[in-house]
Amino acid sequence: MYKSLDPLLHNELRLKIMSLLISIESAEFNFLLDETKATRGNLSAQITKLAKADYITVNKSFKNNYPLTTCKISAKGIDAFESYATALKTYLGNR
Amino acid sequence: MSQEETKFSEHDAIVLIEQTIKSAKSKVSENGFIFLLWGWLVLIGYTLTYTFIVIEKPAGIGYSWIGIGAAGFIASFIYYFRKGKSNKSNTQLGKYFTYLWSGIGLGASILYTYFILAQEWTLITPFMLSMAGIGTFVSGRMLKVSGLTLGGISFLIGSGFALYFQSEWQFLIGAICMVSGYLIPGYMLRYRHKKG
Repeated sequence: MYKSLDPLLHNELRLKIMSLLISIESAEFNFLLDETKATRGNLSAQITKLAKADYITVNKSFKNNYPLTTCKISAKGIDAFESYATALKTYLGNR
Repeated sequence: MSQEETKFSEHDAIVLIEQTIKSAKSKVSENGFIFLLWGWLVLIGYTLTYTFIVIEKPAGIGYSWIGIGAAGFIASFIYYFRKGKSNKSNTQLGKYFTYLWSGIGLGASILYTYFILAQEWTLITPFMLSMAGIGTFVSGRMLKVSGLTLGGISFLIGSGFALYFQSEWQFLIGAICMVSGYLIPGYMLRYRHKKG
């Protein structure tokens, strides 16, 4: 049943991160934290998984002397998200 | 696949995608503040200009526009400064929006200065209305807000009328355009933003 769905995206938190990033160009870690209502640790772990798959890029910088993590969806991430959404629609349409 | 992942159904996934995208878009949508700010200020400006001409005291026109321009630029600067400080996300659309209005603002400032130096008073209103019309029309298409698109068209039509009349009627046309081009779409944006 799940074969056609990307297992990396078929996870509630990772899918929420990707849906947020596909809607906006880039987002700070705290924005994602507010929107996903996840814990810092879990969000960080899922961002790392998405970054390792090159679905997103993570940029670390400083803002007003505080560390700032900014996430941005990559071209590979957009393709993966679109394929996942198409597969979902096909699956639900065939039910 | 973990237990948590297997519980997440295909239907849950599609609902999550739709809700998240809708929520994210409403968070970064335009709240109409800048259209309302400039709409009200310029409406006051045109009304004052018309009044000063009717009561034959044209000396007040220059001072009223200096005051309106200063108030508008200070309020816009504070608004964007605060917005930039609290902003935790960036959209491609937001970037294009900034590029568009910065370009229009710069071009309008250069030609506005030229018209004043050359004392081409009757060309100022048609020119400013057409600049506002281009910006508002393109903004409307980008944000997919039909009120803004129509507002932009009303500015362009008003610009044509202002060129034709070339008298104190220009300022009444300008005032009407502020209502149709900035204020009505501005309130529509504010309503849409609040509604989410």
